Amino acid sequence: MPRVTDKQLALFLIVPLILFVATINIYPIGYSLWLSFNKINLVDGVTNYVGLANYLKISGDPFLSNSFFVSARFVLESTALIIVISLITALVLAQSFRGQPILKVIVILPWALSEFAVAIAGRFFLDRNYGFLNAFLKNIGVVKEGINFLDATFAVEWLAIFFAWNVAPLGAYFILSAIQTIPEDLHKQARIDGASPIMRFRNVTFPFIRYAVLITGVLACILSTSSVVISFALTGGGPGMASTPVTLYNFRVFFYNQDYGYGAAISWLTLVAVLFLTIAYFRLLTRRR
Amino acid sequence: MERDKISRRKALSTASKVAIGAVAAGAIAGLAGYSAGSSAAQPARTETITRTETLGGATVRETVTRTVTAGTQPVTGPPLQFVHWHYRDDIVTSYVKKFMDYYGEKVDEVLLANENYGPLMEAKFQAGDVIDMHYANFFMVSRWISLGWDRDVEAFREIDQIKAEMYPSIVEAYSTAEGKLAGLPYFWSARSAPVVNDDILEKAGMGGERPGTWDELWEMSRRIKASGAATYPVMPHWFNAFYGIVWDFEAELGNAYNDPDLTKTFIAKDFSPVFDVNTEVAELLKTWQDVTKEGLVDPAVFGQAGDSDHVSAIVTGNYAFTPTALYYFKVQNDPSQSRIPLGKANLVPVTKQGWGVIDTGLYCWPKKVTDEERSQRLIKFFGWRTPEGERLTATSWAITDALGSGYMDTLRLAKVKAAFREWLGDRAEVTLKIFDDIALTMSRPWVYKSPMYLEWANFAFPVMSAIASGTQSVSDGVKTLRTKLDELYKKYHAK
Amino acid sequence: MKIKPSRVLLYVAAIIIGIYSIAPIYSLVITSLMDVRDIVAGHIYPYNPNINAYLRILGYDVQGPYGFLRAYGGSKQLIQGLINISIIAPIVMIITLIASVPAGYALGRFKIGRLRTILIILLLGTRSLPPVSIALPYFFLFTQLGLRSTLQGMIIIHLTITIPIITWVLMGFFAALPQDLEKAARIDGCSRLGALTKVVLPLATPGIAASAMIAFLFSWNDFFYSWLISQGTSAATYNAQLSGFFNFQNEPAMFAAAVTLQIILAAIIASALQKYIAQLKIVDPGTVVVE
Repeated sequence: MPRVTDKQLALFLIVPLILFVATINIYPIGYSLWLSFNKINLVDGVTNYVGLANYLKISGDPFLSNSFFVSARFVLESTALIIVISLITALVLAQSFRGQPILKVIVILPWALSEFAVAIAGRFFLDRNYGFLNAFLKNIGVVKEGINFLDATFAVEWLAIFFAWNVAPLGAYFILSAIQTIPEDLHKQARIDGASPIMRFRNVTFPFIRYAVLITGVLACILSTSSVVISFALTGGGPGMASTPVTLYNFRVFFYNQDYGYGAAISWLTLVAVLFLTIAYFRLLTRRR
Repeated sequence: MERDKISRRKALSTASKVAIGAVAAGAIAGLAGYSAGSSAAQPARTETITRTETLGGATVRETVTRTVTAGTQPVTGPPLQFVHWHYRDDIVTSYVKKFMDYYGEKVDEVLLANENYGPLMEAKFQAGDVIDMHYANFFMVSRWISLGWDRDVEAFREIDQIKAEMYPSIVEAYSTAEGKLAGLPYFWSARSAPVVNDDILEKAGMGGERPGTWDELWEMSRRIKASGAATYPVMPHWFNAFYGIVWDFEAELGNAYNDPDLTKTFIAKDFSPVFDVNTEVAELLKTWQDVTKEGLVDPAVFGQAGDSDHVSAIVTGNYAFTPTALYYFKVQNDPSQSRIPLGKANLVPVTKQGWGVIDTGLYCWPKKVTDEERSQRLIKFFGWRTPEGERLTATSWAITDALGSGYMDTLRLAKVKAAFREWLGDRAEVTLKIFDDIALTMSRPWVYKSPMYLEWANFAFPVMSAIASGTQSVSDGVKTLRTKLDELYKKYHAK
Repeated sequence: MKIKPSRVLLYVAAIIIGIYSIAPIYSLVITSLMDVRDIVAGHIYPYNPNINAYLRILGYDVQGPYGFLRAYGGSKQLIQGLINISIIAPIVMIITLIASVPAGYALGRFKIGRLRTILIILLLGTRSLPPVSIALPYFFLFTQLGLRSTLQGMIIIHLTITIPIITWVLMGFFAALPQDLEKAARIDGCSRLGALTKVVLPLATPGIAASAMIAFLFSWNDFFYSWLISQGTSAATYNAQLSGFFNFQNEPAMFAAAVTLQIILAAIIASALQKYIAQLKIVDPGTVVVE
């Protein structure tokens, strides 16, 4: 009986999955592509081919460029926060101390919430009149009147904070799992050699967790670029359009303005941008040492 | 190895417990649903119903005899589809149940999220869903009639009698530009009617004072802020939804410039826009920007997304003026939900100018229904009356939520008057007079009759929010709004 | 014994992390335990705590401290939504595992060179699509296929997202597992798949448990697709029904209670299985030498 080669087995196991995922997505992708070259008039039910008109509209849309900057800010800040928080949390959880098992359970809780639940928790936390944060600050006497946290200047930052709050636990656990693969002797040796904690981190710990940190960063990036629920439910994109990322703007163009052609064009450009980013990350990840 | 075995067992047992629990829940739910679905057949009979209602401590007992006519075998055929937004869903479900008992009918309720109600309905229409009756604001159904998804109710057998029983102004407000009644009335009310908190006013030494115009309202707010009685004297109706800031815009524009149908200052009778950066619209938006900068308005309003945020804010009792819907005015007077001292939340009377903008609700009749007769029956039961002549829903809504009824006889009913007296006490007469005055003077935008309104409103709310909060200049914002309207006018009306 | 300053720092960091993780959840939970009147007053501990909100969303009228409170009108739909997601999520989890475990094993273990990169990019590429881009086309597609008001429809949508992600996670995991037992089995004449089932799977339980949890929670927590596709249909998930609260007048307690209810089950599963994520051993598969 001829032995199936590894390559053939791998293809056999994976290609069906690719086909499944691709098939379900082919129609939406194709339809969306077709939409982007057309203009649909609901009144007459007429569809007109307009070529690249929808794409050219993009360069003249001030709302879209505003949303682009909001997205960029949101993605950068979320990713940075997630990496930093995961790293610190993982380093803390890797030590043994009283209450560590309890902390491990508490840390995973924010991740158990859906994005919508996070947004709602954020609302109840930040409300100017009766939100917990303001009530707490008033109670300890720091402020007399509630602070309006979600103003035009800082709304995006709060979105990033809560998004990071939601995603960081997963990253923390990924990094923790990598830390736990470090042989204990290496640490002991480094300590005997008199290395400072920072040196120990750089030379002993970091090489082992490098990949996990990278994975966390990639995940953070992918999730934050496609995020729409948290801006939709926490700030509604407000004040004005100050916290409307491209995803939410795209959703509104599709859904509220019913400009299907333009909405499709925006999503295609977004898709291309995201794909470039994804491929770039994978180059990073699979780079030979 | 041993530890691995144990942890593996634990993992498997946890996982299987979860899975079994889920499957069990599913099975039980399936059984429950099945047994609940098969209702008993209703034979023909005469019923005497004794209803007991408690109004303000006094128990009112009513006896109604009705004959459940022969022929009310359980109706065969698929259940009727009733699509509506969220508002007192428990009460709506009780009416649905009454309808089902009356006719042996089956009705499925489909609830859609409020802030996306319009787009979601349009997605459903485009997907070809069967709908037998649905809620809509007037501008929604007028648009959907133009787009060919809904139809007007002129074909109803009793349409002339129905119209005769309605307020003429409501018939006018609920008719399309061609004069066809777009649906049967669910309710009417007013939004952005200013409510004053006398508790705060008293703290500022201005108890009992009332503004006559919107400008006077802002002027009083300045004094209140200076006195320290409230950090932000006004919580405006500016939440970030099409039925938030845009409706307040229509209210203030119509009220301040004595232009109730907004044809002189906003959109003319032929639906062409008539404003630009030098007209009243720009003036109004500039005022908004200024009062926000002055700190008369709570900046938290720009983070509000809908009614629930709005209502949670206006019941805190922290503001002097809270323009709101008349039915939320009732909530402000409900001690179980509001922190405003009882008797201190009062409507501002109509003196020098009108207040508010009309808030409309209709029961609509789509083209694609399950069954012509059954759907008509459903709409008439909710939107008109029972075969015995009882206006079930209109009366109950007036009692429970102070929702205006489209029919002239509702307010004459003793129990409706008694219900108002119950939550208003000795302010009932004065308040009901203000309700009437508001109904006569509130803005009733003519543009609601155009299919372009909903599209524009969905586009406009973030723009208006940006202007008011100061993140966009008035001239840029007005130009954007005007450009969009020109575009829509060309799309829908220029032939 | 002298207390090391680094130890103190550790405890301070631990406490900060703990408070930071739990504060918003605490705020949500206490909101669900109070009446509206007390919520808008801004308390930081539950004032007059009661479980009225929970009873109301489950369909019961209650007598609150400030007056009679009606049951939530949409409680029937809410409960149906809970039941729906309780069926959808475990099925998504199981099918994802069946598909992704062998695939992840193949990608992580087999010596297939560049093919690995190509395959994983193909699989993950579609996952990178922002949901908004294909949301409306999905809506129309599923309506045409008659899948919009079915549980199968939601399951399919969730699978197109969980399978790529879990395959990717398991790829790294399998790559990091010790290979000796496997090699021994293959020398003894086991086929690849035989080795997988007899030798590798028992070792891989932590990773598989963690993946199961990730897949389950993804489906349980999905909002966007549930909201867009299943809203208003009989297959509406709990999250889709939750959005009804989003504009419900002045009922923050019920809103918070409904959200908390969803969190509770997810939190139980997460805390029970969190130690398995820590055993995923996220290691660069490129550095693992496959023999």
